[in-house]
Amino acid sequence: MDTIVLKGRPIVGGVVEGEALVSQDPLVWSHGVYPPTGKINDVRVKLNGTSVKDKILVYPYGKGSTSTSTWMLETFRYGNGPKAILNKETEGLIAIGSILADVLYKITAPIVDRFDQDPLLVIETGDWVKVDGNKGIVEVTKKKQG
Amino acid sequence: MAVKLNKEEEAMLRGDHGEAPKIAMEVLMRLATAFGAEEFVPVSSVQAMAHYGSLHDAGLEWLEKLAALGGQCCVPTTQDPASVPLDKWESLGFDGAYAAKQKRLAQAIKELGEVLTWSCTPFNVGSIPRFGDNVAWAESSAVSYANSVIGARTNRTPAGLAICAAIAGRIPKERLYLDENRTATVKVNIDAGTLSTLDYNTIGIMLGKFAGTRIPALTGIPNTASSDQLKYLGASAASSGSVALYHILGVTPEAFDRDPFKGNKPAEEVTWTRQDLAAAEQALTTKNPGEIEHVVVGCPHYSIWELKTLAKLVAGKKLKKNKEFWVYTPFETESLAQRMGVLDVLKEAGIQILASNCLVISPYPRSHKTLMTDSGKFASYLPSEHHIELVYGSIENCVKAVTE
Repeated sequence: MDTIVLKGRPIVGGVVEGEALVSQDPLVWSHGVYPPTGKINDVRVKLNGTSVKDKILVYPYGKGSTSTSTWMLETFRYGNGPKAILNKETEGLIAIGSILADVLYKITAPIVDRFDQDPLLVIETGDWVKVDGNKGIVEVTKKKQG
Repeated sequence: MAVKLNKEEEAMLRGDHGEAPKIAMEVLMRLATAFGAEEFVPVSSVQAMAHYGSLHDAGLEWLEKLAALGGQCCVPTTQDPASVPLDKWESLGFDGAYAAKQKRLAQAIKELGEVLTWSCTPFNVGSIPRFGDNVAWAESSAVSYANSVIGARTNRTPAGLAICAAIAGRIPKERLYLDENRTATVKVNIDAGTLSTLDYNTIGIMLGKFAGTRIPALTGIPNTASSDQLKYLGASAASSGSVALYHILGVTPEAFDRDPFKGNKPAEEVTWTRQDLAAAEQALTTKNPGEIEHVVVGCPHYSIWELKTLAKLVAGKKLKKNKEFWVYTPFETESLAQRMGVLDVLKEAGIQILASNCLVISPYPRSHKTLMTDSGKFASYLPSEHHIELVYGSIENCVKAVTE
């Protein structure tokens, strides 16, 4: 099957694979994701009500307060975090959420950003995605059409 | 590119100073590597977070772990307000189980050696950086004040990372710690005549929406703007956008006698008139307010001068029946108000002081439907967070709405 390879900047290491969940809207973790369910809880986001649990979560960039990192960390503590995060541009707030999940709960959730192609155009919800956060390489297998 | 480390940083990473500095330094190292920092900068102060409303159980476990490992802040470290008023949560009807979590956080940061100011305005309670100082502050309004008004340097330090900077005494040198990243890129001209304190809130809200994450420089703001007014401008801009640094020509230190654009042309320039401000002010009141039942002010925390001004406004007045009036301020400022007789006047009028707390990061233990505030940041956050209607107006109008 055809795969598409994207190359980006490795932010947090680790190798995982899973199903993509793509949000074209920026995501706000503080008050915008409910840690006990992992569901997006933000009326401004089209994916409102969808769970990020175990997904390869793709979104442009984060918005919101400096407590983003601890809201993410709490979602990981509940076991409801995404398997990986792919952004156009990641900020430290997002990186720290994943780094602390590793330090405290031994959860590996790689993060990659700044890709050579726009991940929001290449990846669609339901695609199978392999993420190598050590090298910044992402392999996308498109879901079967129809 | 590898991060350059000095001997002390290498020693911390090896664990020579103990387990907590080792873990803190490892987290900082991972961040430095990810974002391509070439080295670390020492910080002269840290403003961290220890409020349960944002830290949750995970943040509590993180701070308790570092405390149990003997972690100690090596620079003066304050923290944001708590998620309940620490001295009167019970009488005000906050949930006991929730307050117990907040108390565990308080215990952890006490063990870590933090300075327990519990305020979003550390600059009003003794933590004042110098011009050019590197600090690691977390609260977005305090970050804006430190960068813009004082000319100190800090990024929006993530919750959970600030404590690492406090224990290790340093932070990766990237973004706003570097000269070249502090240049203004967009210009805002204020052409609205004399500005009230509410105007500074409104301009801040407009500024955040316009600038987003870009660095704006403003003209048309007088150098007589007070510390409180600039506090509101920055807090509002950080709540409607992600503005961590703004410049005001002829006012703020990095634009006082030098060009904040460093010779470059602004990427975008706008002018806001009195009409623009009036429209933005109106839009901050929600669509269907009912009768105002509760006034909440002190976001960011009220200064002593604001408490004194409020006392003048309410002297001889009383809250109307079934109305409430809450003021958020630091413990130190409440104590100062007590000494000055200001607190007695406020209490006499029926005003409640909630020291060490903030409604943005705490539960709302009331069932009132319509609140009023003089704060742009409260106006940004409270309607969605507590599902209430909100009226936005000056402190004079707040007082008029609920007193007789």
